[in-house]
Amino acid sequence: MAEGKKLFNVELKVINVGLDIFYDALQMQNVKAVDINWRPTPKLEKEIEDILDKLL
Amino acid sequence: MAPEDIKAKIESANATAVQRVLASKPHLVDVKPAIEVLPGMNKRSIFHAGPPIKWGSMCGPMKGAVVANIIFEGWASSWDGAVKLVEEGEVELSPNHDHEAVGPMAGVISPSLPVVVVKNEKFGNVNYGRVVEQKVQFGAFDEEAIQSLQFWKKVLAPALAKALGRLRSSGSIGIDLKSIMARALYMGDELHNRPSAGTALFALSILPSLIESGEDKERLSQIVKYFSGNEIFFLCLAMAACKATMNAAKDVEYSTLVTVMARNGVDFGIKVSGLGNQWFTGPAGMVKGLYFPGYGTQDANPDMGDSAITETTGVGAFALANSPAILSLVGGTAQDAFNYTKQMREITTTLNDTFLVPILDFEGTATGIDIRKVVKTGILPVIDTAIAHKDPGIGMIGAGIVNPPMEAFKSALRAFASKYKV
Repeated sequence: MAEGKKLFNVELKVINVGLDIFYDALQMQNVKAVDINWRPTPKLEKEIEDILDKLL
Repeated sequence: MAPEDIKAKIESANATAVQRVLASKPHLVDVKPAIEVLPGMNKRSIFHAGPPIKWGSMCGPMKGAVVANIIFEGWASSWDGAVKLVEEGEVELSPNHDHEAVGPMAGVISPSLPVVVVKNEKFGNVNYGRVVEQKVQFGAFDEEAIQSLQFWKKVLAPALAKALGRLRSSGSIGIDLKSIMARALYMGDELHNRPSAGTALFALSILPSLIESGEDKERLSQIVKYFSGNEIFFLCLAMAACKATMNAAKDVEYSTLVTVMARNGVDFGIKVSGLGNQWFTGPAGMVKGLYFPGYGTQDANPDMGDSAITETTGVGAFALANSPAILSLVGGTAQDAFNYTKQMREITTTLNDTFLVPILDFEGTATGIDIRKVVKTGILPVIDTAIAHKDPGIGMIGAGIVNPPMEAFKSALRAFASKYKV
């Protein structure tokens, strides 16, 4: 709890990974943030995964 | 074959294929009636955009364009007469791409319609582009629409052919389209929905020859007015240049590069360098974008046209960061445009050495879509495109952004594994 309080009593510097809606919300609140453009790799059919393993 | 061997073969094949893309030098050399130049066209052929499709399955605007061209050819004089001809099998339907050609939106080419003739001076292949107008290609078939084809046939095509003939007789190989495209990208075009600078640059390139060829003053005036009133003009030249560029990269054994992306308003199809002429298809998507007043998504036809050959070559939406002005037509923010242009690097083979993006420190556009990377990352190519009304006879109702179906890329990947016995 004490650590949590401490976090919000100092200037926040945020690294946002993934959905940029969180980054946009932080920007609107004047919170320093960097946005990492990342998305999880898609779930593929086993057969397609096997082919990709051999080709890429 | 061991996995490492086939991976090396693919990398080598893709390097060869994309090098051909980069080295291509498409030049406009002529404008001719389709029947005189298109391979496989006979006197009752109608070619169309996208992968193969039968009359009964065609979307409204493509049916409208087919009817318009039948009336233009004089084979029938009404909708009913034209439909009867097609239903009785008197007209042969076939995709443009299977005949070395491309066409915008419905993309319908009939025998006496002019096509632009583009030669790839580096590799010698010749490809063809249906002329651009703003009526028939969106499915209109009324008198005004037919007149737009007649203007091309009777005024524009003969004058451009004469001017190009004069250029050739003075030792020129034609008009360097790649140079115009590269300069237009610096002037706010992305060369698909916004070829405005390209149109202006082309007009400046052809005007001296048009004047010197002794073109009648009144016709010259009509032609110049057509250029200034049809900013989309250069699209047919950009598309034919892209087709001539990508055809140089086809049939490279083991290559996973996409050489064609095209839509017929029902299906989206791709072709892959190492897989010959086979189409891989999935359903055409609905375009997300902005509509003209009075229209909305309920009126829209699914994605349509051969114009995605621009994105296949690394321009169009792949160069969207160069063209913030187009966002007023297709929607989105400047940041979206920047992101699209950067994201396409994840599914491509290289950066273009001629089509550059100033805002990205003059790095090239992402070029050479690789089916493996599309499937692996789940990132689909992005395309900016016009939206046609779903009913024939109405026309363009908006523009926006669309993606191909992943299914087409997965089918191609399966076919690749099968062909190369992976």
